[in-house]
Amino acid sequence: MQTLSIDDKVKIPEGVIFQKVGDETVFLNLGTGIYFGLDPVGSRIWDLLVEKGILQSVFETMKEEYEVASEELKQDILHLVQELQTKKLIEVIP
Amino acid sequence: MYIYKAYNLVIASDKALPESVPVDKAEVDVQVLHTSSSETLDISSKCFMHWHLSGGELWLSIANVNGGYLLRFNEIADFFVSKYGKEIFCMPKPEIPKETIQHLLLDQVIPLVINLKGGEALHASAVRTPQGVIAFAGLTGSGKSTIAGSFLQAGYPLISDDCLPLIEQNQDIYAIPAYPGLRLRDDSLEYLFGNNGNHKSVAHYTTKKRLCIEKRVEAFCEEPQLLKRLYIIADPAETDGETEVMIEGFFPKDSFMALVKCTFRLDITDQKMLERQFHFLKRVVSKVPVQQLTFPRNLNFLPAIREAILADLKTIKVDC
Repeated sequence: MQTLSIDDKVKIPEGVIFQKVGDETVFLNLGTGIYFGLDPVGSRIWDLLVEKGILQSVFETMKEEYEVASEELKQDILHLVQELQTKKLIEVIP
Repeated sequence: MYIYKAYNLVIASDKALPESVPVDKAEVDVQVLHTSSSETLDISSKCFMHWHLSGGELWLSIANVNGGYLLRFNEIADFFVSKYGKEIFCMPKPEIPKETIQHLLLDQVIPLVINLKGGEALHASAVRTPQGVIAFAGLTGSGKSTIAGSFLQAGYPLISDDCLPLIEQNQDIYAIPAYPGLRLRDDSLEYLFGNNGNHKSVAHYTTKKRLCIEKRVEAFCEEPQLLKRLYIIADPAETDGETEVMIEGFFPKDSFMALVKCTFRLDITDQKMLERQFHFLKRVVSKVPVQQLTFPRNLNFLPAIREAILADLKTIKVDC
C-alpha cells in the first residue's frame, strides 16, 4: 500500500454504506462484509472526508475545531485514513 | 398436514412439530416436507459458507443449489430451502432421531429462513416483564437461556429461546414470540425447575433438555411485544472470576457491533439483504437501549442477576 500524505485525495468506494448512531458512525462494506465503527472524533473526520475529499482540508477544519498540536492531528488523520483504507472503506485517488 | 405457528410464521409440516403452537387453517408461510435420500449431493463447488464448532469440527455448510439453498448439517441432515423460503425439504441421514431434525428445523433452519424472507432475527432469548420485553444476546454457552429460564421460573412469560425475530411497527421495535420451549443444560434445568420430568431430549448430539411449557398458557407470550432492553452477555472467557453482577451502557457503535455479531444471516453474499439488515440494526440501536451484562458464572447468582436486571428496568422512562 502506498504511503499516505496529507495532500492526498480520497473517495468512498462503491458498496460502502454508513450510518450515524448518536454521534458515532458505523460502516459496512457490502462486498467484503466487513463492519466497522468510529467514535465521535473519528466520525467528525469521516464527515469531513465525505464533504471535502482532501486530507489537507480535513486537517485545516479539524485544527480550527479542536485544540490539538498540528503534527499530532496530522498523524491521527493519516492513521485513521490508513485504517479505513485497509478495511476497504475508503480509496485514495491517484 | 400439521399446521403450526412459530416465529409469527404459519408452518405446514407433513410431520408433527410438538413444540410449536397448533393453529387452524391459515395462509401458509412455509411448507415443510420430509424426504429420505440415499444419495449425498456433492455441494463442494457451490458452498459459500462453512460454520465450525468451537472445537474446529465442521457444523454447517450452505450452498446455492437449484436456485435455492442447501443447508448441510455435517453427518446429520440436509435441508433444502427454496428460493424465497416458501418450502423446506428435510433430508436426514439414516438413524438420526426425529427430535434432532425437529430441533434443527425449528432452531437453526427456520431462523435463517426468516432472514431469507426479509425479516431479521437475533440470537437471543427473551421474556416479558411489566416494562416490556427484555432480550439476552450473547455467544453460545453465555447463559442466554439460563437467564431467560430464571425469569420464567419467577413468573415472567417466555418470548423466545435463542432466536428472537424483530419487526418495526410505528417506529418502534417489537419482539416476535418464537414457540413455547426452552433448552437448558442439566444443571440449569435442575437448579431452576427441579427434576419434575417435564422435559425431553433436544437432540442426540447434546445433553441439553427442552423444558416443555406448551401446555402452560401463563408461561408463554403469543403476541408481539415492544422490545424495551437488550442485554449483551459479556464473553464468559473474558469474565472468568467475576464476583459481582454488573450492567453497563454501551457506546452506540459498540451496541451496533454487538447486534451485528448476533444476527441471523442465511446468505452473506446477498448484498441487498446485508444493506437492509444494516439499516434495520441501526434503527434498533436508535430505539432500544443496549446494555452489557456481566455476572459470576455460578447458578446461585441467578436471583441476584434477575434483581439487578429488574432494578435496571426501573430506570426506563415511562412513555407519555
